[in-house]
Amino acid sequence: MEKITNSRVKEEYLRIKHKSGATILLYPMKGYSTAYALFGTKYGSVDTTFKTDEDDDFVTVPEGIAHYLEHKLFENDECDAFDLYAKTGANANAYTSFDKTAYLFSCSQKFEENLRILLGFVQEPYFTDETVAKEQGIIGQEIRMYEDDPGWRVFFNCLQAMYEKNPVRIDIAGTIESIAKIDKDLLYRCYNTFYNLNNMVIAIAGNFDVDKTLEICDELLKPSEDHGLQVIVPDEPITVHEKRKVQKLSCAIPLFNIGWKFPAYSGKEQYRNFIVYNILMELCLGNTSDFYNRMYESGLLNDSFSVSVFCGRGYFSVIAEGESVDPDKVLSEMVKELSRLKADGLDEEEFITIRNKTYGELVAGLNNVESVANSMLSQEINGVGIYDGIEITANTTFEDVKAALDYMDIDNNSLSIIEPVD
Amino acid sequence: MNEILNRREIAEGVHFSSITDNRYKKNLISVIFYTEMNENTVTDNVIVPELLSKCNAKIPTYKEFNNKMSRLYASVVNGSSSRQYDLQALRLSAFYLDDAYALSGEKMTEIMTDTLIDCLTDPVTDNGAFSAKFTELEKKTVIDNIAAAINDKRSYATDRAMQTICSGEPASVSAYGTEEKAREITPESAYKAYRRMIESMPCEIICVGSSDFSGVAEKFTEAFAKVGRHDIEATTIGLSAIKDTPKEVVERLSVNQSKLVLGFKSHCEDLPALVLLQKIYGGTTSAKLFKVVREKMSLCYYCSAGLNDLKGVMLVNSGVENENIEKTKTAVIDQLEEMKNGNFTDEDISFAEMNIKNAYMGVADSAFGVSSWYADRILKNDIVTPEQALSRYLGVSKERIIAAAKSVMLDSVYVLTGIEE
Repeated sequence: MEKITNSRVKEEYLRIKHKSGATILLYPMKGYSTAYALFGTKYGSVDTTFKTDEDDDFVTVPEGIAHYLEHKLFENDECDAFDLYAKTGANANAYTSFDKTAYLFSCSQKFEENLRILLGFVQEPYFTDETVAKEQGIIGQEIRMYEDDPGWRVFFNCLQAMYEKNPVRIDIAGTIESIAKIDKDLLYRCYNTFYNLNNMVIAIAGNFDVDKTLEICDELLKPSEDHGLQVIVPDEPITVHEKRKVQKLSCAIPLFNIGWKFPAYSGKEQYRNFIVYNILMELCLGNTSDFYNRMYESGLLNDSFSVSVFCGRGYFSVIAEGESVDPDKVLSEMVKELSRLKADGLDEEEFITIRNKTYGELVAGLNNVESVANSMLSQEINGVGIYDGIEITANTTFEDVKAALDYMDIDNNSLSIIEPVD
Repeated sequence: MNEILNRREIAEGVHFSSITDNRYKKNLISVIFYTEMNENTVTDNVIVPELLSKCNAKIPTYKEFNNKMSRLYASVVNGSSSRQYDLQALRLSAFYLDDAYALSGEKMTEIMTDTLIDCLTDPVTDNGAFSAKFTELEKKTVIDNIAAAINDKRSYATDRAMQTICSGEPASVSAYGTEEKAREITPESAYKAYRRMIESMPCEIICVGSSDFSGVAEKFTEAFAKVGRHDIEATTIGLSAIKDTPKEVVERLSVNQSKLVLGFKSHCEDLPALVLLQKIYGGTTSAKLFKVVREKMSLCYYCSAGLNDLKGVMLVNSGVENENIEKTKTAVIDQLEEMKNGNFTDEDISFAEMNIKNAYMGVADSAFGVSSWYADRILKNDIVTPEQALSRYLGVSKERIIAAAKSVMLDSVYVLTGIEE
């Protein structure tokens, strides 16, 4: 058991490498009524080709299977997890992202009962041909819903334009066609591969008792042998795949995503770059920048504009998103501005303002039970801790940010546009 | 129950409330003005919080204002407009780190109260109107926001459905009004809306955070004394009339998935029973709509019921294939019949109670949760804590829930579907 402390925020949490193989992160928060618990696996939509020591060869599974598995895990042979949570009143859900799947609940009562439900159903898969087939209609409608969402489509089109081979380019839920190929055997194979406790994290924050929580973990977590999981991340060219991608959908003003592709990082290096590039882009293009205010005043951008780093296992990019009557003009103005700043230099005083703002947001994030639990899970999966961001931010120098701009290939970008239907 | 909030009138039609809770690191001060939704005034009103929240006469540029907020540890001044039942709520709020965490010992509550009051009472003006430049910019923001409503098909469908469900009532007016009206906004018309807001609309100031907010009420009292409040508008919220025959509306748009919204109404006075009915019928993942329409029939990804209690409107929302619209509509109505026929268990009732309890007991964990709770309780003219409200939902009998179900009538059906080829 490791106690992780931070002198700046004067807080601490526990990190336990449990005998079952799971990593457990516990962040009790005094004075709060709710507890928020996540049981997550390092398995997302990008993990499409893999093997373990028990397999002879790598297998490539249909797109969307991690998300499909998330839906199906809620059911066992007698009832589904929602029925169990109904008895406690907890608010339960699950999500699948590019690099993880997480099952969660939040509650203000009966925490231990809820934890038992969570640890129970995630470790008890039950798939039949009938229950798997039943989900096709439900997930099919989820996919159809996102097909009509211009904000979702403009993002995935941008990823498809930037990435040629990395599975980050595929939709998390897959397609109607790809999910039709999913059967119970494939689901069991994915489950047995990725839901090994050595690949899993339990993150809990808020109002709960540490000792009782650990007792329940000891009782319910089934020891797992590390079975040598290997996931193939395809070699990805450094340059973007396509420069421009346009789709038409029902919307009023064109939506755009502009993505700059970088080489992938991992662990603390990834987190450091995540923070440095977030500060840099906020400094160059964010709402305190000359660029943003000029573009806002000229009517080329509105207040839907934002810019941030998008990264995970095997991918790292910076994405600017917004609405504009002329996205091509926005891109050319951004490239011009970044080139100018590269040549003329950045403003150090503005850098300090943005760094303080970033620091303030990270500290304030520790004020919220849900964000603490989610952040602990995400950071653990990326090989870092929840306080690392605060330390990295506090130690980021003006030189770091200048070096990041120097390194950035401003022309290595893709523009994705959703235009209104005629 | 005023002692919960320490709510008191500090100027004509202006009430001040505060709650101090040490669990928060940030403080939230919200100033909310209310007026009846009206298609002729809604759009001029919408632009006001946009104009007030981005700068003021003392910090007269957006860039300078944003810089100041960033330096103050990512403080935020936010302006918004929303529809609350029959009313338009115009909100200006400040969200900022408490004094205790300011690295350089800044008096954050004092600074942010002054900033908020400057935004509210001392905007950038030009010859008795808002600045022409800022009005043009924010007019574009309003037009863009109105236009962007179509991007989220689910909320677009709900808004359109409300126009039919509450036809002829203030609640049918779209939250931001129309693009045509927005194009007619001038610096003068926006300023006129602002003066009406600051002088005559009823106002609630709600402070939540670890600060004791000492001196804040006095600052607002002084600011509103200078404004000169008069002729305070009356605001009323009424139950929506139930149509004799359900009205059906079909709208066509280039979409892949159809959206189905069923508007039900009830004038039942037993609100706790109505709330439990909504929970058991469609308010949770153990509700009939989720269990039957989604899980058993695999018709959709989402199908749920929400209750607008002061209007007596219950909305059921779903996204389905075009060919399944009728089948889904029938299933949704059938499940309500099941409720009317008493086909639910005591266990279902206890699940609904637990769901409400879980939600209510968590309200106090966020300053936004507390602020929204009391803002809504004030509109309901029933200021109670979540714990006090919860006691009303415990022990509601099955007979009461059946009676509430029987009072629910189908009023309108709205369908958003693809363009016919």
